[in-house]
Amino acid sequence: MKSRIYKLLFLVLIFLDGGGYYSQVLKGVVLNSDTKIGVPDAYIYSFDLEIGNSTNEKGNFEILQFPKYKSKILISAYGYEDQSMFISSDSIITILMEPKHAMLDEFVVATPTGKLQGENITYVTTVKLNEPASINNNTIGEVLTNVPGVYVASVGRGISKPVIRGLSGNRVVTYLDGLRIENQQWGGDHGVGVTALGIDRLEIIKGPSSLLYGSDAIGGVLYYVESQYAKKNTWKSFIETTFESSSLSNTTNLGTQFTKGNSKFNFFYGSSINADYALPSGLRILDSRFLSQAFKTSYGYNKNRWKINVRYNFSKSIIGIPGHSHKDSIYTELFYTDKVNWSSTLPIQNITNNFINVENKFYFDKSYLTIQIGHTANDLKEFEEKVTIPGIDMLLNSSTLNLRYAYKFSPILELVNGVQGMYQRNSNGKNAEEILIPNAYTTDLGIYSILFAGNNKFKFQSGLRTDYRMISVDSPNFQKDFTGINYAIGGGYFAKNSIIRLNISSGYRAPHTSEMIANGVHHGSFQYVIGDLELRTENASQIDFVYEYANKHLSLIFNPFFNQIQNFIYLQKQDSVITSYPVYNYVQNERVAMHGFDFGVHYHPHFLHRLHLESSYSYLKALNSDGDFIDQIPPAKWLTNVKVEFNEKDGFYIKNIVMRSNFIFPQNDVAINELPSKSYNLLSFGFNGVIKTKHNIININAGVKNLFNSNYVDHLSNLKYLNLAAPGINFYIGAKFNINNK
Amino acid sequence: MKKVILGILAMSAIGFTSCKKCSECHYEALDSSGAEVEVELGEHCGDDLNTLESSGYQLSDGTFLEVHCHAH
Repeated sequence: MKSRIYKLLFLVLIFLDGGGYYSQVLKGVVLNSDTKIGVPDAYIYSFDLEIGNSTNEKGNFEILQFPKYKSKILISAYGYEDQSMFISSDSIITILMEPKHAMLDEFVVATPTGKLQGENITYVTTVKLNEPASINNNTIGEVLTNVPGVYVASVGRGISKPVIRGLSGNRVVTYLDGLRIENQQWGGDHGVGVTALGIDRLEIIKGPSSLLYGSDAIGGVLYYVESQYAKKNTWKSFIETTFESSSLSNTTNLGTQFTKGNSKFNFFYGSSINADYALPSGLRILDSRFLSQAFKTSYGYNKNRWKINVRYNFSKSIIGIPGHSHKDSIYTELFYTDKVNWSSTLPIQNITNNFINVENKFYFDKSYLTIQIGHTANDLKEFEEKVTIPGIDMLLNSSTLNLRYAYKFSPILELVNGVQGMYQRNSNGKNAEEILIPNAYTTDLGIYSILFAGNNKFKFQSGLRTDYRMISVDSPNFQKDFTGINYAIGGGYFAKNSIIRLNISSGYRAPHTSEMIANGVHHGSFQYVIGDLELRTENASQIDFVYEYANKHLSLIFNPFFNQIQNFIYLQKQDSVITSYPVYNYVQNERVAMHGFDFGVHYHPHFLHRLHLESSYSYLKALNSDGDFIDQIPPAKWLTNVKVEFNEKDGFYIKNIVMRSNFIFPQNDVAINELPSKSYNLLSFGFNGVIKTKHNIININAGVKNLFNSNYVDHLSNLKYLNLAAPGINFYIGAKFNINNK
Repeated sequence: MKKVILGILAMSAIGFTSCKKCSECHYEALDSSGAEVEVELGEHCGDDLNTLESSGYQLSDGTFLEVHCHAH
């Protein structure tokens, strides 16, 4: 028996090493297209293989362990336009780089489809998180408020939930490098389970996306992409720290990344401590303090046709829940304090996350196979009245499996088939005072197939998926099955200056256990919630149109959409009160129609090369089948950025100066029993500087948010009913020390 | 490089090590005039704190009163 196992292992190793007799080296030269002189220090990177190398002083490069599989590579060099091309290791290439005149948009890869953003039929919004933002963002929530069409439902500063085109909670799915993140996202006060630590970028897909992301993705997807590894046989480290005045907060992150031979490592640690935030009046919101820490590490290895990534994340947060009291009479001033306090007080959330993700990828001549196995453990405790006995104590364990096989019939035709599975178990702690949702397990299985076709001008994609979900509850003992069939079909026209995309997609969402059997107080959202066992599956269909125009000085985007959700599940406020909490019932509306658009412009005048003007406007309207507005629909927003950039030089220089305006319109289209909200404008100002030495770079930034100390309450704030405002004027200063060692 | 990795691991280990939980506790009682007053029980930590919160404070007549503690 043993010898058979050894033989099998030997065969597997031979398979993994298969193709070792191929050259497995990609060689080439990068030249200036005008002068035909070599471009030194250009970086050639394959995003699917996650390997790359820089050119030498003559512009020559080579990348070892590059399989014969045709991979898309990106070539970037300072002062030149980015380039991309398909290439395999059996050719020696010459790349001509065009000197850059002005850069409006960089090449960005849409990871889930493995295609460049500019070539993707589904429009993907990308936010870079690995470099200092123009205006400092202390939380992921702040990052999201500056994305057109994306909003945040918050409980103070510590808890932020993403809202994409008016949908949030279970309707927005979060992925971390292919690992689905499950963190009791159904709760109004359960925030994003991922921090910006060690994240390269965030990709946002707006609208139903069940084809690739499975059940629940009817509002959209947040896809976090972890930091790339260091270049071959190099290491780099950083330490960064930021201070903000409103919460007297400090965020400190440090990390190191290195590669040695075929092995690649990343290590990151970060912590953030925040006191109660200050209002425009100078008073503070009691219990809005929070503390978070995270550690993450990744290991990658490439060998011929095989790539493996093992990623592990550990995070712990202690988050105050503001706007919460057990007193009989509740009024706004009850939640004010004039003292600065960082230490935790009741009520608090104590959240611990463990994520592990193992991704294997095998490359063949015309195809690749991805096998991804992951596990997430989300431990959520809410301490409400006692410091040692939790009010709510839930452990959510989710094990996931992703299999994907992509075959290229020809350069213009590719078929992707995949299987996704998840086994999830929710367990309540024995000491918990309340059981909001019972012990239950959920099993998901989905099978899909997508066809990509097209050339450089026309592209087409079409796919079909079938899903099965089984929910089994211990007490009350019951089991329910749900099925869904989803599709996506789309096409794109890619001209020199214009892109037109039309996409029709569907999504489905089975009712969550909490929506079916909840019967208790949810302190975090200040509600007594009652579920309904007879809820049916939600089904969404969206038509999404995107027109983009870009030349060297101007880019425009217009993105109207129409999304219809059948059997829409929502919380309806009742007139009754149980144990001093307002009662909310989960009910279902036959149909909710949502429509709106995002419009954006980026202007870079020829006569003022250093100036960038960016502006976007997002609008959304949602009505149910009775003609009524629905709850928690964000108002229109108008975002404007004015940025002046300065030339890079040795020593100290100012990189850019930015003025940002977030104008939020009033929201009067509200549901029954929902409060309307007023408009507000937030003006922010910041500058980014660089100190450049021979080996190291220090980034420094400083600025002010809410410059005019505006007093405002956001429409999606859970503290709106208590009239508790958002932070007032907020100064920040930060520095990032980068150490590079070749 | 090894020093940097060890530094990150050490920072993480220190950062994630939680200190012993202690709290100021009290129970509520009525004074001679019938007004509600808070009777301070001082600081309690660890298992002692857990027992006090779960079982309550026992008066000399054997009755148990609910105890409220404040995290700090």
